[in-house]
Amino acid sequence: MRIAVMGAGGIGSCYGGLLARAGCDVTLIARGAHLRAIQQNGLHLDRQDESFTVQVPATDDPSEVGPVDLVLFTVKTYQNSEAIPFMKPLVGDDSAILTLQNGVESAEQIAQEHGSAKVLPGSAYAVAHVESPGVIMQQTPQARLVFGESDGSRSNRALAFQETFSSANITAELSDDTVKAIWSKFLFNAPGNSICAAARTAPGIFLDMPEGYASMRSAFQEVADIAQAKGINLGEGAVDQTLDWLSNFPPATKGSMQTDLEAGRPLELEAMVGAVGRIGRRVNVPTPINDLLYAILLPYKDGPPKDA
Amino acid sequence: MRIAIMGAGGAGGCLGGLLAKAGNNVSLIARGPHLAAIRANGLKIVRPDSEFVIEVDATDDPAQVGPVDLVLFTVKTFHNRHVITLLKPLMGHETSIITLQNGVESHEQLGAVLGPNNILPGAYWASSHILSPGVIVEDVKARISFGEVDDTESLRALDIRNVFRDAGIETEISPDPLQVLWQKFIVLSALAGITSAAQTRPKELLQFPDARKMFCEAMEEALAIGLAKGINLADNLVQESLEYIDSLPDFQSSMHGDYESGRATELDALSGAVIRLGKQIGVPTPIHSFLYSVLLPHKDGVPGSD
Repeated sequence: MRIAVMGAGGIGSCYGGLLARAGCDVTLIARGAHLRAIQQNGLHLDRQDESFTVQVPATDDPSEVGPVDLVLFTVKTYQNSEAIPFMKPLVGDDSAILTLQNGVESAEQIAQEHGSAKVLPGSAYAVAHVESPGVIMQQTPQARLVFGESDGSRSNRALAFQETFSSANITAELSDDTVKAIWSKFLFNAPGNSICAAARTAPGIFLDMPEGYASMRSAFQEVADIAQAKGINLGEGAVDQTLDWLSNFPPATKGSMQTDLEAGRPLELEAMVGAVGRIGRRVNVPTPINDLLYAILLPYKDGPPKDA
Repeated sequence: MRIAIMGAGGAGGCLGGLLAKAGNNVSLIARGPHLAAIRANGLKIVRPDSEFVIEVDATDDPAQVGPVDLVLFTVKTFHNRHVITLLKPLMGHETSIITLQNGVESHEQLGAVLGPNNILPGAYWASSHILSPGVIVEDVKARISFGEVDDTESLRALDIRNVFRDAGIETEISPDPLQVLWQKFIVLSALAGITSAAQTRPKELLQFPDARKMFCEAMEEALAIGLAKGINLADNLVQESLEYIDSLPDFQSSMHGDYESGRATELDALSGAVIRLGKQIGVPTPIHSFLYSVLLPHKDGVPGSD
């Protein structure tokens, strides 16, 4: 199976590195200093229980790679408009594209360019970031993902992908309801990642304060209300269960948006709380807390404001 | 006039310097490197249009100052609890205290310990901060409004106003100082909250329509509380305040500056007070509650910062 990772940042490199170590035929599409470091020294993964370097082909030019069986689509959401057409050389007649991005809108955006039959929606459950060029720090103990076919079928390709992920020590859960799966992550990821970025605080610490817990709960509830209005059943008590789960994050585990904010990088604001407000307005669900988060973080959306 | 400045930081230091320059007998009560620098080199004030250095008495011990005619109470609100009792050596039979702090609760906190009769609530409109020990920069020129809680235009208030005006400080006696306090509180709690949470200065932040809306809605929350408490506040206060902030030159709210520098912030006297007073009187405060929660992790500053 030939695999290309389109966007070998924190998440893409983490999954790509694990696949490469397991002997899969993986090529990373990356850019700049990170690309050069991988080409020269290989990709280094720092995980909780292990640390390894793997030699893996990497390029900034998809046409050098050609069509693959599976594209892991892991660019930052604000790069979608550029990256979706750019990856065309990777996409052949039988290629599948698995999006593991934040937000709930990427699968549709990819389908518009490459056709919905090629797209498998998915959610990554891992926190990883580029610590320095060529070096990935994975903060969560596990690399897990949930994915599936949009129609819920257990297709041969989906089963084959699951097997490949499992062989690489990636826990891959095949979902028969990817909309639910994506929204189950969106429920906490959009408001949670944003609120922790705004508070410059890790979720485990923020949720330890009653005031933080209350704010987070209100923000999650808004997303749950939107899901309900859209007929997506996240399950009874989803908000509180998710809060409990997030409360147990180790204090040192930061969300990706806080990491981006502190590094002076652009934020995935539009795909996160921006999308909550946008989708909320379409289904007439008010989203005041998510709107506040959007307003608070807007000056940093494209990097720090000039006076900061 | 014999004047003690309790808390010679950005606001107190600036006023103390101007009052001393005009020939008043001023004692600054300060601490640490700032105190040492004032003693060694005098106090330097950098105003928007001029700057000067003035030799002025400075100490960390109010007992060395003794009774004065006027105390300007300008410590950060989170010091109130410890500092109010330290005022006693400054108090004579006819000592007046003007509170010039952020928030709307200080005059009551002082009154509870020292008796309400000598306390004149006031508001300080300006933006000034300690640039380095002994050096205070005033970005927006100081303006003071204060008065008697019982609405009288007393002789002592007139005396104080004249002394301030002679020192070049724009000063007015308000017939309703609580109104003035609330007018400032409504703007400041909202502005300090949003600019600190956004880590962005007002000029930059208020370019965004989403942020303007949030700013206005946050002001509406505190306005509703003030009105419910019977404070005399105009219905168009929010719009007027927005125009006022837009008219100011570039500045930074002191809470944002404190947060950025890793110092403790006045969160409890601002958004915290909005939430507290809102609960007491039954006015919901979702925006300030949200702002409070994202600012709370930084309320006590970063250990080790000045």
